Amino acid sequence: MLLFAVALYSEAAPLIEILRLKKDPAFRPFDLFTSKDAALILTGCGPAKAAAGTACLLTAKPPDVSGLFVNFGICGCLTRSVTPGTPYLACRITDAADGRTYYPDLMYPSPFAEAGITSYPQPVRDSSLLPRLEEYPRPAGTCANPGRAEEKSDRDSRMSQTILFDTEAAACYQSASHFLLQHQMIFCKVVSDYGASVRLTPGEVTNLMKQPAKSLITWLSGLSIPKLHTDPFTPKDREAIQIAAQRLKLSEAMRAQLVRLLTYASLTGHSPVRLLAPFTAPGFACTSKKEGKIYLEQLKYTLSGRTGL
Amino acid sequence: MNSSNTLCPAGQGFNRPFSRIYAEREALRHPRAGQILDAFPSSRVVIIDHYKDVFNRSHQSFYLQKHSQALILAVKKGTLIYPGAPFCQDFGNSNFYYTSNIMNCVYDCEYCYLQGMYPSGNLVVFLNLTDTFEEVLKLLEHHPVYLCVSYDTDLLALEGITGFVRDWIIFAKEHPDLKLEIRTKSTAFSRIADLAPCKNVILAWTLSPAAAARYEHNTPSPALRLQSALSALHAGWPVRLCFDPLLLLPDAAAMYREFVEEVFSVLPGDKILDLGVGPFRISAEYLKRIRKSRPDCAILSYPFETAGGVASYDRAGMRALTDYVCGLAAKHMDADKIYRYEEDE
Repeated sequence: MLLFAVALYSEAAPLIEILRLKKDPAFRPFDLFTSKDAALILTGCGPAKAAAGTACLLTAKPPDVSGLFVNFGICGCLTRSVTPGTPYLACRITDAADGRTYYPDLMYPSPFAEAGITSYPQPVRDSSLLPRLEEYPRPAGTCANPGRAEEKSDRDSRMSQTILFDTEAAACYQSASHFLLQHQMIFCKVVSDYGASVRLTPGEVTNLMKQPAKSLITWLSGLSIPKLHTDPFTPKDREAIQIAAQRLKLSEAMRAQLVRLLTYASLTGHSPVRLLAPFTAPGFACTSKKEGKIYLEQLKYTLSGRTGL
Repeated sequence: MNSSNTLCPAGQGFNRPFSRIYAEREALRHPRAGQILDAFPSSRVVIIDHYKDVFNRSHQSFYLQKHSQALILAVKKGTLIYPGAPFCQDFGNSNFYYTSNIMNCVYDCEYCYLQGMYPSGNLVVFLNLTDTFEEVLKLLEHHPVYLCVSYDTDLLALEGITGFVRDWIIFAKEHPDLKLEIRTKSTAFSRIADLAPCKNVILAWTLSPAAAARYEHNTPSPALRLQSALSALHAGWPVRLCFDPLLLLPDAAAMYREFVEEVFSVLPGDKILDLGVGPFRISAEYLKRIRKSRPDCAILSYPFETAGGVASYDRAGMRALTDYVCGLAAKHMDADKIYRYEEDE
């Protein structure tokens, strides 16, 4: 499931179109667009709305282990050499309100450049209020020829600097991190301006977002988020466990022991159905909990690997 | 300095390991920083204030991070040397300490306690090794020191990146009252093979039967580890073997019988410094955490028993397995050189 939090409709329009999302008219208090495999919420601008919208989305559509949350939207850029419409993935998110910095895991190869982003409480319309480009220490113990300009420049180009700014990313992160693991959160920001007082029309924003939205969806569709874990039991195993636990008159604690034992058995290549066959066979009778415990201990010994020691 | 990007093969669909390097501002000023960054010329570098901002984040997937491990360069503050933990064997040494210049490991052993101990699967390298040396010198003013430097990591496996093992050996040579243990599953002895052997530096190889090594992802095969240990022995280094953890896998008796035979068909038992034997044991709290994040791990799904906060095989099973393996090993080496982990150790 892909879950998007976007501030404005003009930013979200290309995603809604590509993913063929339909508005859920009954959903309140935010606008929610959904399909079978995706959902997008319009949070509105600013950190409070972004956090509330994100929490609302992730509560309404609880993500599973392979779900991804994406905060998509426009941002400003400190570097004028970056062309408007350039998408970035945020590798470092700083909340300007309290100075805290967050680092989402970026584990999957992507076609996007990476940069840090600072989230301000409100849009920065006066570029003189923006910080200068971050000064970072030059790594000591320099490479083969530290004097060579190209080697220095190579090192500089590898530094993911904080050049972006917006009003939502930090709030979305803080909200989403209650629901998701670090690698499930993606912050894709598209450069729209350089902090000047120029305001883009909704149409201009949508145009700016079209290509990045297409690239984003192409990338996300190609990702195969691993299923972290497989179920050690087949439905037949579960049925056998149920029957055996009843027939052996196991207490809840003993039943938990049996499940633990059979999980181990299954993961080491044994068949729980076969192991439990003596207890599930017609005619098997166990008269007491005490007798059931003896059978359980026997099974434990068989699987303990202790034979022959 | 060599770019050892093949240490931890990338999981399918993931960024390759160390493709992202987080560096504390202070660490960047350290002479080793530039060397390490140069070893990974295509990695992205993200500047951080403190390693804990990345390493100690909540809601990390230790397991997935192992598929795309990030490298964190940091400078360690505060305590640098700790008293030896009760889980660990002291091999008859007093004044037993350990230190962690690196947190986490490039290998991914399913039973590893680090999965329960650390919130992150990423690797932290503390560059200020000389500060640890100074701490050791302070201890040496009072008494001899037995120091294990490769517990919470595999220092030798990372030698191509950090050069720490070389520096530790050079330091130990100058201080005969310091006895070092460098434990490894790696085959990277070749990286220090040019150094003259040092009698107070013990190179310790953790060896496992092939069936158990299936659960030690990204590690060199047991046969290759044996060859590396043999090279060290031939070069004159004190070599310790560690059959630890012993695992009660199905048909454990046959598995360990074949394993011990194989080990001593390659390594001359009379040349081995000593052998440590210990059954699988783990803090019950760590086990709980790992089972949650890695529920399909066969070894950890075993119905262990918990006593005194330690989860392990039941006492009889533990003793039977340890007795059995010690008995097998005693056919090839002096029994006095075999150190077994006792439950109440």
